[in-house]
Amino acid sequence: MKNTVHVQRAIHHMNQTELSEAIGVSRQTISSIEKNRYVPSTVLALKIARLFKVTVEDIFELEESDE
Amino acid sequence: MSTKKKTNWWQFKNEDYFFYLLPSSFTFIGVIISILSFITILIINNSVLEFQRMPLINETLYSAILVGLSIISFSKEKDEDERIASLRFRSFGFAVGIAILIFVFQPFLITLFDLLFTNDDLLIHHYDSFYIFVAFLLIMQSLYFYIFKREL
Repeated sequence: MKNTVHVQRAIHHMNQTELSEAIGVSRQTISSIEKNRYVPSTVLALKIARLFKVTVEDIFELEESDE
Repeated sequence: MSTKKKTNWWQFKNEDYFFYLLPSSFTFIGVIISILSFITILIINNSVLEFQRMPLINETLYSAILVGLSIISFSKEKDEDERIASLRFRSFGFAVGIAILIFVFQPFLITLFDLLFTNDDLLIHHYDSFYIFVAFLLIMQSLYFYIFKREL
């Protein structure tokens, strides 16, 4: 799964620490998500989408290997 | 009226994302217990004094090592979140697999253990295999958890 968390973060002028504090996870978790090393839970994905005021599908996208 | 949702103990719906964990400060306590117990076993089994004839002394120290390792495995991280909980589950899974592999080869490991840590003749102490299995499981869990935290 690929994501555009870092793009949304740049649009909203947030660093990883600010984003992590806003949704209640560690900065390392945000870093792992952006590097596609960790797939967040549904709850966490919804929190991120709500924070950036977009839909989950706008941020997270399935890759061919996921199907 | 309270709107707090009732959860059952098996649902893990608590802030720990796991069953109840010890505070992160306990990790240091677990390390100290494990190391001191291990050193004490080495000293006792290589001592000229007759400590090893005292009943249950070795078993108590083996159990202390397991207690120390368990404290390390079941202590929180400083930044506990769903990713850390996921890595902890994964590390336990890997640890069980590796520990089973080691247990298959445990007769050879016990012989090596006897050579290094006891003054007895090469007798196979069946109770030692349990301690080796659990100790390796907990060590592998901590090791894999550390590796996963760095790489994932």
